[in-house]
Amino acid sequence: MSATRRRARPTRSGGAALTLHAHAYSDPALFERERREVFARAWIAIAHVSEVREPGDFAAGEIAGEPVVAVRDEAGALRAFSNVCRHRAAQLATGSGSCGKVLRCPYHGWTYRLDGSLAAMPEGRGFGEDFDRDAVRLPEFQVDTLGGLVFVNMDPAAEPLREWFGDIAERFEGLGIERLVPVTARDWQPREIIRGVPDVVRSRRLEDARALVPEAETSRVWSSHDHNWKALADNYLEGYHVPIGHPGLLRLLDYPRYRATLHRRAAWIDGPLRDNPSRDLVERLYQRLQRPMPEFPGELRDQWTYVHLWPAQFIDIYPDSIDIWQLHPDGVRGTRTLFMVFRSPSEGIRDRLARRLNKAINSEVMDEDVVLCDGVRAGLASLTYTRGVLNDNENAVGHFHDLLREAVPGIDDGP
Amino acid sequence: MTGPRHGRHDWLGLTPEVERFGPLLVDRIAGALGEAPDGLGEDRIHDLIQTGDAAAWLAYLAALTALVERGREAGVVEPERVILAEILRDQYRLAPGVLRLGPDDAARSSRLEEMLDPS
Repeated sequence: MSATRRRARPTRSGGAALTLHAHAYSDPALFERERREVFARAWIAIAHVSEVREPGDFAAGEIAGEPVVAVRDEAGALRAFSNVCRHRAAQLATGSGSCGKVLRCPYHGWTYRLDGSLAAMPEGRGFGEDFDRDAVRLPEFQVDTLGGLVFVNMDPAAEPLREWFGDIAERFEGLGIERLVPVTARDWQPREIIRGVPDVVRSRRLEDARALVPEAETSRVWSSHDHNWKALADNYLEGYHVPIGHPGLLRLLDYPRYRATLHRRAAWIDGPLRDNPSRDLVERLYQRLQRPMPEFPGELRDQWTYVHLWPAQFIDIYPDSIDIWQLHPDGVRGTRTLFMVFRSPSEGIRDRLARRLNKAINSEVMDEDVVLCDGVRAGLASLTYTRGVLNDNENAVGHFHDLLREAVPGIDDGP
Repeated sequence: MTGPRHGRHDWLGLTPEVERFGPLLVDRIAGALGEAPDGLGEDRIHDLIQTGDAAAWLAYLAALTALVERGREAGVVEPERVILAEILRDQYRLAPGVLRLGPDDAARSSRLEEMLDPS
């Protein structure tokens, strides 16, 4: 051990674990460190496996502001690259779909093969004879799949995906997300379509007519929150606040049996559902209509399950659908969140209605959480508060903070 | 999942380098071969840009590729022929990003690649 090594801060007070120092939620220097030392070294899910099944399929994603893209190359191998053109930094791909044999930058047309090498650029002679185009490549990242999701890791030295997540990997694979399909929404643009009709009439080509209708795009819903990402994660990771902050949720969840099991870089939270009907109409309807998807693991059918995958990926496992909520730090006081939902391919009207009711219930929970996090944001900036203590029911928060202490030495030191 | 979507005008992004260097190179190569550059020069390019489509552009690239190949067989106009071959090679490398290449186009692309890098 180095003699100059920082002396570890106590992380417990009496029998209780301590939270991170409040400064960790407001230090601008930590934002950049967390991007580099946490997110750029972590396995982050960016797509569903169905989105990159065929050669030429691509799915664009993000790792804490870092654009990445996964592609299925011509030989059928899954690969991941920086989604940043080497010319002037434009984003090469957005959403998901098929790009054929090349990725083409929408800005100046630089065109990359699906192995990341530069095929050519328009007006290539304008870069001079000495320009070494063969040296231009998209940086390549580690990529792998687990439980139906495509994970990317920017760190070439990172452990393989399954080892990284340890024993939860097998349990995660049992969820069967690969048998589900992403919920999609067609982004109809009526004005664009009407404007394009005369061209199609002139060309009389079916291909042009098809081009008028935008392709279905995976429902990646991005939102912005003016909270530090760790405060949002803390809130997700504990059920201690449920009886106080989410009375509606308490009517559905059997709180005394709500518990988190800790794993190497993950937490598995079981939220068993109550048998008795709720007094609230929406909740009662949901209780009556919801039934497990055929693909759903039997042992989880009577509960809502929440999984945290380090650093900031949260999987909500409902009998009617599974969704992923990711946090991407956007400044020390800002977080962009990504929401993706997966449903059964055989979902019927009753199941869809149950899923909508679920969404209504959990949207209310989310609204309540935002108000709670607003209060915490103000409190963490208080001159009178430095750190708090954690209840047993907040064990997953303590685990998360310990992982942060390990990944970002000094995060807990305060100003 | 459907194939890649190309805007019907995207192929126009291919034209600038050919428009800038093509006419002079075509003149030199055709001249050395004793051919008239009819239909391959500046007027044809302007016409294609203003009224053509992706298929017509590919047909034009095919005609230029044939000219380069005739020049190679005749062993004439070394620097100009290689420059035009490089420009055409890049056209075929860029093209899959904006249009669908047929088997004949892919074959032309392969011949140009081999011509410029026989290894």
